Amino acid sequence: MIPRRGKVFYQGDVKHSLRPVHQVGMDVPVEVERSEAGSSTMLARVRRGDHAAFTELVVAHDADMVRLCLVVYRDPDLARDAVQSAWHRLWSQPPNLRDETKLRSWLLSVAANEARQQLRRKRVGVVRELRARPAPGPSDPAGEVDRLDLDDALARLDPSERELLGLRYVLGMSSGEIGAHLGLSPEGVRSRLQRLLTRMRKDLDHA
Amino acid sequence: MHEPMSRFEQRLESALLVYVERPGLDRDPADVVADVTARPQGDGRRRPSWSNPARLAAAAVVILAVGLTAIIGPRLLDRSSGASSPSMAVVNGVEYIVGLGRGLRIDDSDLSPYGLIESFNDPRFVGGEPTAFRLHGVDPLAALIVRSAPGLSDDSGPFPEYLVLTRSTDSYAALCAYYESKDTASPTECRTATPGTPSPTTSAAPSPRPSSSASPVPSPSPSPSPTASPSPSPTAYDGDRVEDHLTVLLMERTGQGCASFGHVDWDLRAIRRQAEAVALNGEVGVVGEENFVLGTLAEAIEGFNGELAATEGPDVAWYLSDTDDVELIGGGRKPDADLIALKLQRITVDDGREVWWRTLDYVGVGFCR
Repeated sequence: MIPRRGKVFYQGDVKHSLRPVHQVGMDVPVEVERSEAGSSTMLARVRRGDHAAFTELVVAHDADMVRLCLVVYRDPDLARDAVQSAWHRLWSQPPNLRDETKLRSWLLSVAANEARQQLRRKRVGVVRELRARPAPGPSDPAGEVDRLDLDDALARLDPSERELLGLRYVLGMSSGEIGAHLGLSPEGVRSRLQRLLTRMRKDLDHA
Repeated sequence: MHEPMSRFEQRLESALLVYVERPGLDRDPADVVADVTARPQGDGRRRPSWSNPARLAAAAVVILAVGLTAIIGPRLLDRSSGASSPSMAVVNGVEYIVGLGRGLRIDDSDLSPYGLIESFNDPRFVGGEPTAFRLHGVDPLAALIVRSAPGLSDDSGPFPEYLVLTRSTDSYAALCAYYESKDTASPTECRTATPGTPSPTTSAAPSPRPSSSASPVPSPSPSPSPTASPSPSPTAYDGDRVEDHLTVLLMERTGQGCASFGHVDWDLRAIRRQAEAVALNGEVGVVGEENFVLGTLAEAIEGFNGELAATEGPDVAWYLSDTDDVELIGGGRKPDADLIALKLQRITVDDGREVWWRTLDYVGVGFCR
């Protein structure tokens, strides 16, 4: 079975390994396919207070939710808090999804919105953190400078633009999937991505 | 569906995947689940923050404040409605029945702040002001007055400006001085009473000021409400202990009034302080991602309004998605939804309590009609 781009598969024992494998076509044991097929019964079980079902959803989606929030809001603590709030919300108020295959999209949306609201409450991001850029040298961790360049480039984007990047390049969603998630057409997604890429290329090339 | 990527996209993808690999980012799912499921299901619409109890406490304060401000929209209980379970409110530890003040003739000079609504049993009372007023000449333990939220109505028409809190249905007699005896909207007992005649429950020596034991609500002097009642003792608070908040209640028509779906809250003073800090560091204009504009409080509110307009889609939809209509998350908006913005001040008084005070009339954006 060849995983398609846009789906994330989990490698190894899901109880012990939460690392998503994003590469296309990796030949790995698949324990949990985060397809939406299983979500319908999962949600019903969560609604009944089934801890095991809830745990399975956390295992399947938590890492992606945190990573998406991290790209969008660039703050690991905020990302974790927001995702935790989203889980609280799912547990305390499971949504009545007419199409329960949209659960993943619901979770990502709620997590992103939680992060946005927490950002407002914290008023973080209002004052931008100034960092001393490490001088290049053998003692620098590999990629640290690139990471700072990327962070600077991300900082110049709107949260919605960073969300688009996160959905596409971190979660590996296709334009169609992103469009379904954001309420855009696939063409609209591709067009926005192209504009974003042009800006990012310019920013990163000048960094 | 595989979509080919350019070399730059591949580089960007690799860089982003490295970017999101941070030590400690992955959590033990058992911890996540334990934290979440420690709370019973369906135990509230809003969740606490995960790792910061202080934030949880702050959120609780905000929610309490909004609850207090949102609390008092009239649901009806016109005494003629025959409701089997009357709406109740608690002020200063005393429970009152809530009714509509149709037919009341009140001037602001008749009102003195008496206390805050401490609890309320009917969530449909939303959008009003948390302050309960005593009426000049009326025993506050018999009846109190609360301003109703604007824009609400029932089958009998628009809600009146005031709600009446009474200890019992007999307490309406205490208010006859404020009813027109010939007004059919007036309580029956007042239609035969002589206007202006104190009732048996009326205080013998009415005072325009609350008694010292009545927990008056301070009125901050920097920006008094245009409809505010007399200021409290100036020793009750000082300016350093006053914080400005702008709270937006998100509401929707329900067919029986308005229901609140949530709120957004900004600490305007903190925003201004941060904006000033940015300016001191040589940066000007728009700060951060929030697009709050450096300037006066009024400008901050304008900035807020601009932002609200800008985020009319997903943010609002997210709150309204509390109705479980997940479709709204995608950016839709309920056509009946409306917003109310309130400016509040949080005041820490000498004994450490916090009280909230609405200092301006509604600054927004629309009313629940």
